[in-house]
Amino acid sequence: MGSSDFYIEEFVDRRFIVSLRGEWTFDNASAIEQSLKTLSAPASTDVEFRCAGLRRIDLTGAWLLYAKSLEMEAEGFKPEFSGFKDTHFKFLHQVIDQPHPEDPGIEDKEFTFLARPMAALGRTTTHAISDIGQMAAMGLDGLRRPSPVTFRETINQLYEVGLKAVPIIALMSFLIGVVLAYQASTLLTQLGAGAFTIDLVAISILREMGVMLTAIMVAGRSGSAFAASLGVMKLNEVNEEVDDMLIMGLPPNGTLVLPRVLGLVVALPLLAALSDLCGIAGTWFMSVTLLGLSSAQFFDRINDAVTLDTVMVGLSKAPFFALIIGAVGTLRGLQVKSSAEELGRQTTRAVVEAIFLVITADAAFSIIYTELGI
Amino acid sequence: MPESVISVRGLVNKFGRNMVHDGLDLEVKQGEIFSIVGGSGSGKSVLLRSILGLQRPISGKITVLGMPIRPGAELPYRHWGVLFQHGALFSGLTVRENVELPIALHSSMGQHTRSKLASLKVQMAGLPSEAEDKVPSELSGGMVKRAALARALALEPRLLFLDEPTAGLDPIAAEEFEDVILYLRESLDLTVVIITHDLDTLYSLSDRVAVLVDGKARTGTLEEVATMDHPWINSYFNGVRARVIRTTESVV
Repeated sequence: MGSSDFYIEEFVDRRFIVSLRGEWTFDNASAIEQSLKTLSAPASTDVEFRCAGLRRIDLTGAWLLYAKSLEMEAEGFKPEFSGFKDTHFKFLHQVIDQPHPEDPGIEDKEFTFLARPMAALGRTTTHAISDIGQMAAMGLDGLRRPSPVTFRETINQLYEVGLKAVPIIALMSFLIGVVLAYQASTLLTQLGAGAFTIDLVAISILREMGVMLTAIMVAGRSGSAFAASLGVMKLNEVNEEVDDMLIMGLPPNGTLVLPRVLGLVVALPLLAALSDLCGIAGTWFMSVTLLGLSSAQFFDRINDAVTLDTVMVGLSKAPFFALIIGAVGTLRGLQVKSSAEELGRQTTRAVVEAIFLVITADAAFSIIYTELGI
Repeated sequence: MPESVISVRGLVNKFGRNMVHDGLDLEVKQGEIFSIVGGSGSGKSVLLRSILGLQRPISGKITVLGMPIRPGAELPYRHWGVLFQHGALFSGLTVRENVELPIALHSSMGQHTRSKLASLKVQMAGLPSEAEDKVPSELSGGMVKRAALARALALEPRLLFLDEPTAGLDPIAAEEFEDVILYLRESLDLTVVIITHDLDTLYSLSDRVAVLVDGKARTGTLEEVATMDHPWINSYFNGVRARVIRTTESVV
């Protein structure tokens, strides 16, 4: 007859007797489970669990024993218990014998290979459509019912997303100017077209690079901040700030969304203009130090290469980029519902989608302006 | 003589010039339900945080289950369970996963057993089985408390802390909750420490009570404490609400 640290098996008068011993506790759960696996009674005998020799049993231990007895019942035995303090068991009876809901059946397997991706595509599409609708609704609602603090909040946001971004954007743009000028002059000189370095760099910065890199920087800086701060406000259980605004009569769209988007729409073109200036400054720095031009020659070249249109083409895109960044950031923030993970996910989405959409929009603008011949 | 489960000696906590605990002594014995009461700002939460090793006191010696408590040191993780006031469930996990987590951390049970045991605990705390797969944000306040209780009980703790267990529950839910706790004490030989404002909970559960006043703890049975001579204690235990509760209890 087998035995283990937790029980001894024996036969007495055609009865299969399992005498429990040792500590049937949480700490020993795995060991008990292992040893119970080897316990099996010979067919058509009476089974009795004797519990008097137990040193200690807690709920986990009682549960393991109970589960084993249920298993044996299913095999046709009628296990009996003796010497058991019944508090644990009475309780287990109550709990375990409740009917359990069945697992929902898995849908027809044959078509899942097609159905899954189709369903995912459908979901993505409907989500995208509803996102756009939600953005429009948020914006319109914000405009229709501006809150008493809209103006003050907008100024606040201008400071947060605009003024505070000045140093980093200035530095970044200056360095871009330096790098572009350096690379362009090396390459163009090899081709015998070194004189066009300034034309190339100035046009790329003013038309494309300045505004786009600024938008990307702002998407990373402020898009994430929008999503995270609105997301925390929305997290229920933590603080029901948005609900609180609603019951106070402070429209959330006018208070949270509109000032952020407006702040960005004003700030981004200004930051882009700053970026243009600093980019050109970087180019100038390289031209004077590396290309050996004088400042007067540099500005002559700039005057020849660049018109007001070049600058305006670049800057005209900024408000649209700002709308994209602001709308995506605030929307993703307000879509946070339940968990800390979701907050992180929505913040990531806010940044990634804003940057992606900015670049897509830039491509569209590029085509439009080329078609228009500007 | 029942052994002492928690012992606090000469605890001092101070925030700036605000003395919260001024040489507080406390003793909780094996198997009792011990309540801690006190006005707002009397240092109930700070006391709990000190006992749990979440807060470094200025001075004082704390022992829980024979282990000295120091922030950052090894704590009796395996043998205590805590029900925080707002549940403190992990927001990204379902109820069952919340309960499974401590089991996975402190045992070598297989995945299947672990999840079955977690379901058992969830049901034990009085939650319907369809709640197991929900995340905390889909639960009502009372359900969050029950789920948190299930998690606190996951490791078959010897010592259970309940921070305002019935706050935010309606009276019927609070009573059910108290029943669950009484039942658990009876069948699992738990020691329970309750921080509460709720006079009903105080009267229906506690074996002994500590009242925090003037930075110290005045400890005794309910009768002993209620007759102590201190303005706050007098107004707390002899206020109208307290008298109503006591008369109804003695009628029953």
